[in-house]
Amino acid sequence: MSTAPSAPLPKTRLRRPYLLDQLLRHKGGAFGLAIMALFILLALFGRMVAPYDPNANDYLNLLSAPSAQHWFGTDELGRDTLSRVIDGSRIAVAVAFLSVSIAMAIGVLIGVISGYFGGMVDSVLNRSQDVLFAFPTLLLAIILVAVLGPGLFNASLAIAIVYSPRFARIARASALSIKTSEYLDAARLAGVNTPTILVRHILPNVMPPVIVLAALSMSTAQLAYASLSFLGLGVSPPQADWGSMLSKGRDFITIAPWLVIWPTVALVMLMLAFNVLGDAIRDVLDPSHSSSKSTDTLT
Amino acid sequence: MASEGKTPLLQVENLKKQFHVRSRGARDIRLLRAVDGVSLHLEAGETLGIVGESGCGKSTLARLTVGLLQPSEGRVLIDGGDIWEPGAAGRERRRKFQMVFQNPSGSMNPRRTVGASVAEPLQAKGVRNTAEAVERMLTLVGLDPALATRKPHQLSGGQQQRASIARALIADPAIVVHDESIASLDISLQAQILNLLLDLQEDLGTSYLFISHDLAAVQAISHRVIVMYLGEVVEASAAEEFSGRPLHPYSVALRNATLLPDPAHERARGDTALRGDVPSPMNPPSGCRFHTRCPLATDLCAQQKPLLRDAGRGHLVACHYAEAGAGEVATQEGAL
Repeated sequence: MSTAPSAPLPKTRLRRPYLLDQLLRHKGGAFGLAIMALFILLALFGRMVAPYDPNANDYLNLLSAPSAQHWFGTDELGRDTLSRVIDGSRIAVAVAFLSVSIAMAIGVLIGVISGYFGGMVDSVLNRSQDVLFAFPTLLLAIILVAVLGPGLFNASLAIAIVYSPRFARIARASALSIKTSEYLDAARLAGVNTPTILVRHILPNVMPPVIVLAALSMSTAQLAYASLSFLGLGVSPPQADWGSMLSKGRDFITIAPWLVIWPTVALVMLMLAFNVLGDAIRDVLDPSHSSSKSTDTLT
Repeated sequence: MASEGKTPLLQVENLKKQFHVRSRGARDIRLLRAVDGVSLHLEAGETLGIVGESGCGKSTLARLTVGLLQPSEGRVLIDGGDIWEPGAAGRERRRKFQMVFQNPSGSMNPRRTVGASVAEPLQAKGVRNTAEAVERMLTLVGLDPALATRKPHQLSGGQQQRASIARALIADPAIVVHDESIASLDISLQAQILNLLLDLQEDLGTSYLFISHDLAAVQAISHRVIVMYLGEVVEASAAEEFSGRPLHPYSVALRNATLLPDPAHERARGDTALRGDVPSPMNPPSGCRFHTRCPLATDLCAQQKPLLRDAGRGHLVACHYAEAGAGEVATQEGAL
């Protein structure tokens, strides 16, 4: 126990690069990150890779089966399905990040405030979140889009509002347990003011479970958006979008099944990536996991 | 008991704290008197030990004293000024306290470095450059300053507790309250930390309020000792006087329950162990609260509440038969 070892202790570096490092070492994490990175790259640079303009019509090849010319086949207007699936990833990735970011911001704010302050504030915020929670997810999203109007941002906002209560719950529960922790008493005794306590002590300790939920929610948020889009409540028609592609392709499912197969494959792969990544983040953020790893780096 | 006219550093007057408790399913709200009329005082550079078993209100008293809880009744005065005075004056007084907690691993934010946690009280005072002070303080409590860059979970329990002590002392508080601060450490570490606390007090002149269920630890570090039972003070005395002559039957029982590596002591303490649990503070016994478990209890004890009285040499005790209790100890020691 008596200290002052002869050699200076190595400085440990933690934080973000550490998390990424741990995720890459995690089997599922590496897989999820790879798929997600692929989709993000497609979303950013897909137009350069795509063999055709996603909205260009090839009237000589209407509803043609997959071939060397059109790898994923074409739709009823002769548009190349591969190019449209690639272009649709822009929307899918954008919606996943946008809706979950907004949901996380709203939810964490509400959760932390209601958990930390308690009392009336908690009751009011908590009840209103319960009301949102009681609605079936998709139904509420449809109602909200009907009110807000269709479109990428509005659909994302609707999904965000529907998803915010689960973030609020997790954040509230964590805030409640942190509120009674000894280090918070110590901070209060030190005379640290409330906003600083919230930002410095509550928020960082609320985030790990929230981040796991965020990664997992991206998968379902994306599916929810595909459903909205399937119902015609997503982006407007010429823009390629997996949900609307499925909706259109359904009419031709017996004669041109590739129109539903490829968007579905893309949808499932992205969802899988988010899910696996979410699980990996949970493993990595688990204190026992991280502590065992960090002692490795120390010795 | 060295208060000759001048105001003591810390004065706690008739402090009471009640909690409203609604048990599951029950309609009525009941009153739990966690701390029920405690008065005490603490001089600069002095250590006051508070002993009592679990549930006697020690921790509530600690939290009331430092201002983490607001009392239902009574006052906490520091240099004669109320810590709950509205505005900056009260806030300034509450800042004179620091606390060292029971659970060393829980008393520092797991996501911040040890250095950041130790620096916090200074930062809150508006000090910008804290690195030097943190280094000095860590060295003072016997830690390698390089540990400042570590996370709390990378430290051992003893190191964590030393770091907590460093944090408590860095902003130069007048009083540090130790709430079972050594209870979760093993016995050799306890001794190290106690010695560290004694050294630090000598160097810095800080006053300690040392709360523990461990009578031996309290006697080792305190100038004066207070014994609490069910939210009340049952005995208060100078430490030496107390260890030689505990007067309250509860204090005697506590002392006899202390394990010593001495077979003779073990044989002699034989049958004096207290039976049963502490009665519920929601429904305290009539008269003397200890009468349900007291070996000396008579009908008088069940009816009339004994008040704290001076039993000589500034030794305060709340028992009708205190002198008889002391006599019992004497006969036991005679049997050794």
